[in-house]
Formats: sequence, C-alpha cells, structure tokens
Amino acid sequence: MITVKLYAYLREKHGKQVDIPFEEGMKVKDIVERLGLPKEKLSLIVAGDKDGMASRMMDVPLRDDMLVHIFPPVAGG
Amino acid sequence: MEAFQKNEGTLGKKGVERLRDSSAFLVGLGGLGGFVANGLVRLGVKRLYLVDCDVYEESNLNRQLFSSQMTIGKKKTSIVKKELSLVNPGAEIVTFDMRIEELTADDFPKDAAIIIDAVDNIATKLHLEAFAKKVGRCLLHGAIGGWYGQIGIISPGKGLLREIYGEKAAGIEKEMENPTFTPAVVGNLMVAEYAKFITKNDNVLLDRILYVDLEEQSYHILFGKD
Repeated sequence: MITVKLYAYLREKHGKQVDIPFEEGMKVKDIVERLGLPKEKLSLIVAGDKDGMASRMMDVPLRDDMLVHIFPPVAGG
Repeated sequence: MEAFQKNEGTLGKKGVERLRDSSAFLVGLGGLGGFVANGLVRLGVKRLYLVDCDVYEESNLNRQLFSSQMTIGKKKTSIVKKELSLVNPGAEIVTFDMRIEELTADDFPKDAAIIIDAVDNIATKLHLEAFAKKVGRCLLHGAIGGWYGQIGIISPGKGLLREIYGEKAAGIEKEMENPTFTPAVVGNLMVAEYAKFITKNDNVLLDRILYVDLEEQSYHILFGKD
C-alpha cells in the first residue's frame, strides 16, 4: 500500500490522506494521475527518502509501504 | 543589563558581534516582513534597508505586526522605521518607498549581507531571485498561505524559486488567504535563518526548503540530500 498525504486545496476530492494499492513498477506520476491532481497545483513532493520539485519527481519509482507527501505552492507574504 | 544581551547565551558573544555588524535588505513589509523587521532589530543588526510602497489597510489588522487603527492609511516604511527605532535607536533604518522593480543593481547597498524575500506574489519573488543573482547575494526566501509556509536561503544563481514556481501565477494563498499566526511563525523562522546565516551556523537552510504545515504541525526539509 502507498500512503499519500495531501495538503491544502489538494484535499478537496480525497481528504487528507489516501491509501493506494501498490503495483510493481509504480511511479509518482501514476499516483498523481490516479488521484486526478492537476499538475499546475503541485509544487513539491516527498516520496520516501526522495524529494524535489513535483515536475522532477514524476518518474521516481515507488516501493510498497511508501509514504508520499504532495505539497501545493505557497507564495503569499 | 545591556539590550539584546539575552541573545548571547544562544548565539555566543562572537555571533552577537557578527549580527551587530550585519546589514540586511528586506523587501516587503506585509505579514512576513513586519515580523522579520521586528526580529532583525531585536537581534541587534546594525543597518536595515526596508523596501515597500504600500500603506496600511484595515484588512492588514488580522496579521501585520505594525498595523493598528492608528496606522491605517500610513506608509508602511515610515511606520516600521518609527517602531523599530523605539526598540533600538542605535539601528540605522534606511527606507525605499518604492516597488523593488524600480531599484537597479546600482541602487543596491553593498553592505547588505543578504536579500530577504517577504513579498506576496510569485512574479515579484522571481524578480527578487534574479536581482539577488545580479548583485551576488543569497536570498532568504519566505512564503505563506493558510496553515502553510516555506522558507529557505537560496544561493545566487541557484534558481530554486524559478524551478519551484515555474509558470504558476499564484499559490494557495489566493484561496486560503493568510490568518493571524502563519506570518508570525514563518517570519520568525526566517529571523532564525538570518541569525544562522550571519553567525555561520552549519545548520542554516542553505539551498534547502523547509515546508511548514501549522495545522498538523508537520515540518519537512527538502533538497537536503544532494
């Protein structure tokens, strides 16, 4: 199982946390697509011990029991 | 007891001296900027450059440190300078009552050790990142929206904000706005990073981003594993 934690407006459809059954060969982008998260609303992603810009994290492979955090952009002052 | 001596137990005598010799260039005097300006003066900085072209409005009262019924309609640079001078009359406060886009690299004060991003929109944040590269200074970045915030110090030319924001027009602040507590917390986290940067503390968030969620009290540091 992959546990995905979502923040701010990314929670609208799925709430704070979603569990997705792990499948061999799964990548971060598979989760983003399955949850229907609009890519323009993603900023930073943490997947297990990897992290970075959402756009650069899409091809990161997932492992079973991984915790993934998906953060939207913040830009206020 | 000498003013600001209470910083010494944490930052050391040498650290406090370095802070007293430091100058900072702070852009934006809204939610974040008010708390950053307050913190820097209480750290004992020698000189503080403040850039903002706005006046206080009633809608600032929920979160902006120096906003009050008395300051509505008044220039932020003037009010903040006055308030800071009451805390530390020895600090030199230099104000630029203008948009950062109007300043050229030649206007940039050479003694400023770092540029501080407390502005409220992506376009100006990207402008500041490019400006910091041009003048060869690190950018102490802060951003807030709703329960959330992010901070980090970006080396000149690293282009981290350009990558983070890409072509986005705005963040979650457009929908969630900014409540009372988030600017205070994130602004003071920025002050802590300023102190670490100036005192050469190895734990400074250099080319890393701390993402803060005050609702669940979760804190993630990204880009720390290169």
